[in-house]
Amino acid sequence: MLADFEQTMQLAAQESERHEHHYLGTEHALLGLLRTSNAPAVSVLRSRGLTAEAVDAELARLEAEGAVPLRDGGRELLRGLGIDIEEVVARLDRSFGRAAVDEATCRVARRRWWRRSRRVLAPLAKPVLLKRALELAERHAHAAGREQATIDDIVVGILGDAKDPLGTQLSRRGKRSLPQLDLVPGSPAPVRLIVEARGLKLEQLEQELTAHDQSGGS
Amino acid sequence: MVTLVRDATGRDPADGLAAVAALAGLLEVLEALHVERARRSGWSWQAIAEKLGVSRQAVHQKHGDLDKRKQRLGKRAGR
Repeated sequence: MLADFEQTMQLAAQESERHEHHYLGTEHALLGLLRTSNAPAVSVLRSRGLTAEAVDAELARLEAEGAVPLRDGGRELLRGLGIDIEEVVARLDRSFGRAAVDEATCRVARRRWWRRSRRVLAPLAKPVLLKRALELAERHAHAAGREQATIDDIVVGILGDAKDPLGTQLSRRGKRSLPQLDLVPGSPAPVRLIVEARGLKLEQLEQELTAHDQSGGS
Repeated sequence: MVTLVRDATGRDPADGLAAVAALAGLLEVLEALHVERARRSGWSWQAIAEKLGVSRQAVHQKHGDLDKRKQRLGKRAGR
């Protein structure tokens, strides 16, 4: 994976974990970039009031309103059966290592024969809902003549993805898995809600970033 | 076990079924982790199948991708 993509995924994973969410979304990637990156596009967002603190607060508000689901993934239900999933995860980490647990979770979730039936998300799995934003970032980079997408392209990809409702371009199987995460296909993307709550428009921000990019960041 | 049965019987069917699905997902991950560790320790598919109480074919069909993955990684490392 390309370095900037990998960095974005890691930041998104950290923010998702910090907010106790059970998926990786573009809102986590955006927050992670705002917290750590000095890329020109990120600076433009900060100058328009989209600081890490502001996005963090908006995300907390969306959680309180139920627009962004908090982590469960069957955890409460399993707790009702006397299984503390946090304890299970801690023991598995100690015994097998985080990487092996993540890999096994991934392998199980992608197993081919599961596809014939309804997909069951393991409580340890953390679905990634960033793919479309990263694809848009790659497309934006190619259009600008860059071989690899940079953080600036990824920011444009995140905003571009947020213009469309949740679940856009997801496969039927992908759309079916959204309600399992307590996300509603067709509802506005959390990034859109965050941006608009700050009195900004996605389209306007996107235009500003493109203009900034074309002027060479001056 | 008594606690588990008491908790489960007092629940709404929707909660109970969702709990079963979550538990099934967790079991699959646990199985995958232990099968991989067993294979790395040199266990045969037959020995793993016996421990899991299923046929060798069943366990191979489910976890056979582990060997394919190992071969792929081996080929890449050998390049």
